[in-house]
Amino acid sequence: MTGRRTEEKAAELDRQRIGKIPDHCLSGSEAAFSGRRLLLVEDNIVNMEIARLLLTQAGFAVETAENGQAAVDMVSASEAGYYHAVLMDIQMPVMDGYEATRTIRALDRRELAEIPIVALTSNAFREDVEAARAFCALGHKTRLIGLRRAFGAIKRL
Amino acid sequence: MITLDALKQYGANTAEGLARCLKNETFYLRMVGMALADKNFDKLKEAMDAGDARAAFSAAHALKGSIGNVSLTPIYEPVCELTELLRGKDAPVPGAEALAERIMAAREKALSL
Repeated sequence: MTGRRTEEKAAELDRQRIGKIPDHCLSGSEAAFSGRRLLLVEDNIVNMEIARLLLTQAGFAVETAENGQAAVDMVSASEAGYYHAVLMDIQMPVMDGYEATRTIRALDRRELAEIPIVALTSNAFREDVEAARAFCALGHKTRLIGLRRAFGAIKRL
Repeated sequence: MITLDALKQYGANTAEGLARCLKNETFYLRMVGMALADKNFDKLKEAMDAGDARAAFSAAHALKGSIGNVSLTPIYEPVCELTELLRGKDAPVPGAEALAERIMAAREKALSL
């Protein structure tokens, strides 16, 4: 899923797509993240939908990109501050998360190049750890984290 | 239509999958359907048929994420085993074929629920 939507339309589409969330499932933290827009970059639709559910329920406005190239295109075309942060999967087709981050960090517009990027992974294998080290070397606002810990990290950005 | 009870009897860890989906049953069951339709199942079969261990690893690794997120344990366990078996391999590995068959059979069983 790619493309830009308004915050209201995105939220309405999410409500239609997800259906009513039981009240006891609401995190109660919507106010903390209200008004913050994230770009979620993930090629797997199941992973993307679940992440979007969690992020939307936390109050974020969420836009999505299905690979690193789409993410680069969306960030490049955005106004400064439009995205609060980018949540980036690492292993993706067309352009992986590492390459996408490197490309964003090299953008001419500094305010876009310095956008906080959080790489999402639950992997702990050697090549993932090596990719993580390389990923974190791309700038102090680039972090590697699992989705459950992402909320705290995003709040501190 | 697939139900929670059917998934439980099948061996899925529905409590875990539901928790990951904020206990939204409708959403969870939709995600289960999407995971079972993951194109990486076809990619895995094609790669195994072609003897392409790298492509098979890539497909299995991708399935690990989607199937793991909805806790379809009967598929997830052999996917994990196959992922580790194929990691770093360039050529067909003994045991991989049997694991791939287990994965496909478990998927077919889930699709018939």
